[in-house]
Amino acid sequence: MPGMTPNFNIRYPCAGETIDPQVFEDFAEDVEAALVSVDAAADAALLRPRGALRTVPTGISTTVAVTTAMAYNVTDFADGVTVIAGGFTIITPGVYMVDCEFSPITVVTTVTSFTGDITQNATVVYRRKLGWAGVVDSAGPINISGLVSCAAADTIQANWRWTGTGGPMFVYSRISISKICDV
Amino acid sequence: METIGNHGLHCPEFDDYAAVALYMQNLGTLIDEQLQEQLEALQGFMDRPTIIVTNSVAAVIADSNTYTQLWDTVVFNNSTFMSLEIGASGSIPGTPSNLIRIGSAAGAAVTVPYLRGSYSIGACTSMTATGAVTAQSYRNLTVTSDDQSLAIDTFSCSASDTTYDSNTGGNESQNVKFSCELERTSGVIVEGFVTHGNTASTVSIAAGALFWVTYNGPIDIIEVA
Repeated sequence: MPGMTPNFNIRYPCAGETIDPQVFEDFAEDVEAALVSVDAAADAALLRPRGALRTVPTGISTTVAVTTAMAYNVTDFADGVTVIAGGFTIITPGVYMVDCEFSPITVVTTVTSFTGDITQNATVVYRRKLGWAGVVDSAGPINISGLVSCAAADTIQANWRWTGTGGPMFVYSRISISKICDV
Repeated sequence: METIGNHGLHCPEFDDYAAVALYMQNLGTLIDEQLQEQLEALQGFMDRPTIIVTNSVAAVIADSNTYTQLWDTVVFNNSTFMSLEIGASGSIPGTPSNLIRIGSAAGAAVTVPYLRGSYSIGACTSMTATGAVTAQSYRNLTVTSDDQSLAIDTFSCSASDTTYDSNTGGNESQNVKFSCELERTSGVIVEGFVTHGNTASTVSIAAGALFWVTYNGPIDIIEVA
């Protein structure tokens, strides 16, 4: 019976065994299999799932008091994640860093508050909401970010909501995602 | 035996043929060890130590009360040196704190040293007045990283987000994120404090708030003289 190494089960002949071409073939094949498994880990390290999307430069039209999903029409890059109209679908389970920028472009009649959300499967996981004290006709930019523990097929998207009068308010947005670790 | 390359591998020469079996065993074992080291290094690179915690139930607090015990549940933790501690001795004397501990406690034996280097830290909370809203009252989330092993107990890093309630339906939400460097081996605590100025009623902090720490990588530069 051949011996085997502890981690990758590379076979080698033991004392007293016949050494023929099959022994060398088995050894070479086992080393090859070990190299393949390390190659896979190296590929995963070099190609960490990540992506970045943005809306059209003119922004997304949002109506007062309505939670509006951002629609990302421009893909800056996407590797290892699936791009959908509103964001990303996760392929590889893991913890991901998600960052989202919202930049209101147009003025309206009045603004009393504005909110940016990052959602996971349509449930808010990160949010920032700001309000104004006086009579203001525009909203300010919002950046939000955080870690999200994701399963395969989870969707990561973003919403904007504002309160006040008038509109619509056009909002530019950019969302990015990068895998941090396995779960 | 003739040595080949830089990984300690070798091949038999003319006088070694009788020891082929032993040679193959040694060679296979060396290859196995070298590849296992590379695999562990790659996996360590991919699996950055990370902890995410949350509050499983909403917390209701009075105004001007710095609430230090929001976090009660671990969502994810793949590290061996970070943990959620309930009711620990935090940075506010005499006030128990639910905090993330990095490394062993300051002053105790270092049984779980942390990885030296850069860390990213962040959190998000959402608050709604339980009754009347004091117009434009503040809602604040502050996250601090405190190295208690230092002789002078000061915050190593911190970030704060303050929003103001304009009485537009609640869910006043705060979001912080910052990076810091940890250069010792143990004794660091990371805390997330919540406070508000709504004097007209208490404020509820929604369940599902998130608080997290992740290791970015080393920052040491090794000089060879």
